[in-house]
Amino acid sequence: MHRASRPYQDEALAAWRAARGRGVVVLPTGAGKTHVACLAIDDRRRSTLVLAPTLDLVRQWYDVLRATFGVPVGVIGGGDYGVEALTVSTYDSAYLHMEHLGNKFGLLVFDECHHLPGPAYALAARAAVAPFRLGLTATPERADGRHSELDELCGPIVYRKDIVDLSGGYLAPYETVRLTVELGPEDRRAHDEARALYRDFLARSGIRMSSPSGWSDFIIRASRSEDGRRAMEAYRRQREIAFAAPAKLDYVGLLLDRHRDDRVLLFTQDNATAYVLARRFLIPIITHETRVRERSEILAGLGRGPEDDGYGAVVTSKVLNEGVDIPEANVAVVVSGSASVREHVQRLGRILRARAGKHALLYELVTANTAETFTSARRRDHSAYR
Amino acid sequence: MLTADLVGARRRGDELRLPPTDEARRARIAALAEALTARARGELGRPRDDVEEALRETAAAFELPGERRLAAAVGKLVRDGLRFEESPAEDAAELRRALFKRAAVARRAAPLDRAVLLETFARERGTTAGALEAALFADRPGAQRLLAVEVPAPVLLAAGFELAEAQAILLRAVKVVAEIEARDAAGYRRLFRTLKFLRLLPVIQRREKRPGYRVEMDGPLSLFQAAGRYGLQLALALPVIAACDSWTIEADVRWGADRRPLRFRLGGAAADGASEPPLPDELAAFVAAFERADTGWRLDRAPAVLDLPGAGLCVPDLAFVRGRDGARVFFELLGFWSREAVFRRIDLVRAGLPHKILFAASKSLRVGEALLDDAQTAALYVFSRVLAVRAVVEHLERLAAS
Repeated sequence: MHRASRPYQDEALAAWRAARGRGVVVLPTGAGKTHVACLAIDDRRRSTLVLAPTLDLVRQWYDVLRATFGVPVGVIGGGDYGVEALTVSTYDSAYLHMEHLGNKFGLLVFDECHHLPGPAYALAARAAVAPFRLGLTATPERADGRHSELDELCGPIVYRKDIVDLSGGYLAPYETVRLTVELGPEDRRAHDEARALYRDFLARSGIRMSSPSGWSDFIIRASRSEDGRRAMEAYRRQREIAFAAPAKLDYVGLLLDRHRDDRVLLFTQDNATAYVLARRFLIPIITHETRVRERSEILAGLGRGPEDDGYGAVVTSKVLNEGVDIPEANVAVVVSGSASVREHVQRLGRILRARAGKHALLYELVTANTAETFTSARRRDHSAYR
Repeated sequence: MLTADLVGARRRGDELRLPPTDEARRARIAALAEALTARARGELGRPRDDVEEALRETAAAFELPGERRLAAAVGKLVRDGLRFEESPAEDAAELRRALFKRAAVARRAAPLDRAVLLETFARERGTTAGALEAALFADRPGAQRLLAVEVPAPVLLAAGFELAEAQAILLRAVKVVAEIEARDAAGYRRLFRTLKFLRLLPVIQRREKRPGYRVEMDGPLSLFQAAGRYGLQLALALPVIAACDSWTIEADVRWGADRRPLRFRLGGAAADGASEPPLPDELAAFVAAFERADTGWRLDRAPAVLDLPGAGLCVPDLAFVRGRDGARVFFELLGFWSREAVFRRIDLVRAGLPHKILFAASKSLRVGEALLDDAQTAALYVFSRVLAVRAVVEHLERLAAS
């Protein structure tokens, strides 16, 4: 371990040590959570299993651990099964193999540990005997309230810094701008008709979407009748209209022109809208089906910019929400998204990695008088947006 | 077809066992299949991305705690029955890279005029803007539209679920032994011909003291190469074995992350699902050419199984009958994965197989016709790319005269 730590990283390690090596460290994206984990591994010097939610993150961890500790690093997942004293795995693979892995490690590091309270992953955490556990996340809170299970699975939150605590110092200073657009008369009519049909079905079926099981109830009821299938189709239609309202797309064009010298990330809720934007504005797109080689080329191109045979903007749906490092990006445009606070904070996090002179800007486009208005209000319920 | 990671099998001592398939489990499988199939039907005409999202949503809504693997397995079987449009293969990634870089440079200089940029770019490439747009994401599977939902009825899918799990287990087999009994000769012939059609490597022997046959096959993990393809072929044989009136299989498998050696057993009475297999492609092409030619020989497509007690069995693909005197010569196309099948047949001939027979083997198996030079009733025809009618007829005439 040769890299100098930032003061809050040392504080986080001290807090985790004081909790006898069990607990969750909450730091914003770009604040160096990985380095805190390396400090913890160095501190305990026990065999360690790092769990991450995606293969991209597994690769990033592999590179960091190899470079930091200079020892062989095992990988489990994506067709690999190699166990070493330092091993990285996806949550999925660890779950499948935990009966063989559970007694092999003294320290577990749960990256993006808000995934951990799911039923399967929780089982994997319980099957492991590791006395030392470190959870890392920018956003521990879950909409289903199960973040309380983190205490048992990993330990309590022992240290927390939010975006507002580090902005302007260790993170780039930033600004968020919410822009409201109106639907045209035809889209408005189509949207309202579809929404009425969908809501009528909910009312007739006695489904309350505000209840925890509301969405599941709707899917189950919708699959059982022609009426239900029409309601599902109407639900989708009104959502699509709100996500990709023509006025919204016009606004994206204006923003791309305004920020022609910046590096812009466009986020959408669904792949369909992402492809609409890629076609209309002729910008590269990254989705789950983008091959690794093309994806690496696009991210490297965004880093270089148009002046050096690269790109000025990239559109993506959800795959860049977590973990991917793009220090050059300084403008984010949330064209559409879910109500998830975590997703919204993670998207903001993508443009906050500090660089000299960088000022980050996040735009959120919301279609007026649609479900998006409510969705937007819910996802902004975080200190970073106040 | 299921993959091994979707199978909820458990180890008990040295055995690998599937969960008991009781009515309650079947009902859950049928309920999951019904929900997923109904949702898929509602997505007809939509792109694969939307269909996938819809199925994920539905699985999450319907699965009960502890059912994750089961729901994923049912989802896989439902997805196997979805037919999507095909995407043309274009070098779309290269096109995107060049076009988007050009657009990035253009936008930096001035607000982007999309139409002008596309026209210019298309002209430089000798195409039109419309064609360019069509080719831009032509490689994208997520955009393929759902054309048809051809999933078995939920109750049938549930009934066949155990067999589907067993098929996935066979993908991890080193050796498989099937004991089978069929109602009539046609049942055996159908099975043996299917095994041949799947290009497996069966050693077939009549059972002692009991009717029926013992069929021993290598598992994919016993091969050095092409194990994935071979495993798939082996798994496809299981429904045909299960169509016999009574059957058992016993497989030596390597299971789990540590590839632990375990024994897997399954058996039952006749299930539905077997049909007469077609001829392998090269043989079908040969038959078509043969029937067009005037050779003086005619074809019998359903020849008898040739059994040499104590030595083994031979399952000819065809028999040829000479028009002028009724002389009969059997014909079998050999091997694919290894030369082993050729040597097994030579052993059978030397053991005294009492029928005239012509074997055909591809040159890629590196065997020579001289292997059977000294045999009176059998010959080996080694072909390079296709089975030639003239060469086959020459061999037939020589055997008929011997």
